[in-house]
Amino acid sequence: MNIFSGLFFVIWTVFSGFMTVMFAGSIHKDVQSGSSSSWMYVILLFPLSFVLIGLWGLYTSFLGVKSGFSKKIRPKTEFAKGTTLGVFFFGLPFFVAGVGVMVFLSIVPVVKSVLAMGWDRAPAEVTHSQLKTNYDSDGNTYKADVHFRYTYEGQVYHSKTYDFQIMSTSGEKGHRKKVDSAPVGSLHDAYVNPWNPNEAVLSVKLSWVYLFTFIFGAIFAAVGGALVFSPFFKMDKGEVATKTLPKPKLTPGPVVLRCRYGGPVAKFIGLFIFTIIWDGVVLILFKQDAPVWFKGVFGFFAVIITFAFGHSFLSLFNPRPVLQASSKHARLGGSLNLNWKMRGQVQKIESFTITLIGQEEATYRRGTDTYTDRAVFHQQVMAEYPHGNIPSMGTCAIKIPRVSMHTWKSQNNKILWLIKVNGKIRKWPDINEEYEIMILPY
Amino acid sequence: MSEIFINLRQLSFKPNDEIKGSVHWVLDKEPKDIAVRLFWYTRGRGTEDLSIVGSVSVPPKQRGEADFHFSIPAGPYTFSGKLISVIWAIECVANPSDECARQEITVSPTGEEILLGQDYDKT
Repeated sequence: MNIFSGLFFVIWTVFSGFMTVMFAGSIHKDVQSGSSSSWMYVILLFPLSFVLIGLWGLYTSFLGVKSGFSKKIRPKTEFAKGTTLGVFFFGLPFFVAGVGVMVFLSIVPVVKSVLAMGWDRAPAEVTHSQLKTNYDSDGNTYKADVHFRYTYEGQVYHSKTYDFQIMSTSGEKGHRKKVDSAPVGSLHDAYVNPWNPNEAVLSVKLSWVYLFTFIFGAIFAAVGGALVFSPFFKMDKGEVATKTLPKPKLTPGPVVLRCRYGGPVAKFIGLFIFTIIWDGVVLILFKQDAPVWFKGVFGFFAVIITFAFGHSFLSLFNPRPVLQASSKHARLGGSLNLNWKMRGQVQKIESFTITLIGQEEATYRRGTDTYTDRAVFHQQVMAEYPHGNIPSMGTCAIKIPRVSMHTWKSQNNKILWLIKVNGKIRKWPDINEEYEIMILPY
Repeated sequence: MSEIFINLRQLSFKPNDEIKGSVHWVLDKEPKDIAVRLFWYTRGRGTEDLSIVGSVSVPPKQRGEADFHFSIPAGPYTFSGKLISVIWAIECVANPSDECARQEITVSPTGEEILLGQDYDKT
């Protein structure tokens, strides 16, 4: 268990869960009053996705990591010193800014709005109402500047707070709507804080701006948080040792191999959720008065993501390979028998190969991005049909080289042995599946 | 001037072998602790990984000599590829001065570093 990452994800989950509940209540209220369609519930997928990230983080923090070492032992040589401090300070501004945006521009206004719903009501008269414009070379921002006078328990008070949104935004339409709804001389029921009657607002409606602000803040906080907390994730490097060697628990008998990345269905579901979230945000963005360049960038990626989603959808109808190996494990110098069959319209495939691959995978970070480079060190074609006429099933023997590297996985570096199945289909997404087998030391 | 020496009878080992050796040291100040460690680490494109496989403490005197022995696990082998290398080593560290000596060793069934991509079956 890692207490630092666990604490981070507890806070993350509570925050995002709270936001989800708040927005669910607001949407439900709008739907019940008839001002919104019940399709608006779909919007809840946005904050819900952050809750899921938090739950995943909690799972990996508290259950997913089991350390085999009790002491944090580090060698004194130069390679152990690392660059964790640099990464920490690089990520800190992103993390602080993201959390600041989430807390002060989203969570605090939402909490205040919800609390104000229970405040006392008092008659109020608008004394000043104007759309305030902040001129800027990057685009103007707007804010509804509404002042009002209200009488509470026989005393007259003044307030300049229309609602709890403290930020000027580029959405002129939304702020103009507020000004139009409160012209000078109009009468309203103000929400007055009974414990501090100097505090009052005209509107406690939850704005979509809070949700967008939360999402953008959360993205910054997530990227920064990943960098800031990464040293704590890696604190006990000794634990790597317990994970490096495959345990020789040989399961006798044949096994059906699983696709390395879950296969086309998992890919489709993942892209489906991502596309819904991304395109949903873009759709709402296009309905707002967002700057054109902003719409352009988000719209461009929306097109690419939608294209990838379409590609994954078509892949669902591909013929599916099913691989059965005589064992999931083999030793260097040993062998495995592989039975394969194709489900679906195998005649659509123009060329087909099954290849044994030995592959290095090195993961490293550059700036805030993480990259994984791959290099193949062993390649052995086991079945090849370059000119069509693919049979619906077949058998092949895998001969593992005697002198090579066994399967090995550490935190950032891996040696993997894979069976790759490739099939080319004309005018259709190709079949590209990987299946991992475990090669044990000689 | 402080000096630490690691003495090994051989530098090449097979998986599951025993490593026997000794360290002797002369330090400027009396250390708080001295440790001998067997470990591997990665070098190459990826972020470095390391794992301490065994560690023994020796009496923290200003000068002295001590024997040690470790059992090598089944892997990982010492290897080198296009992206990754795994290197095994023994080091002796004196704290708090951080005086250190390190001796690289090879761990593989052939007794030599495995070079990924080389076709050993043909050679």
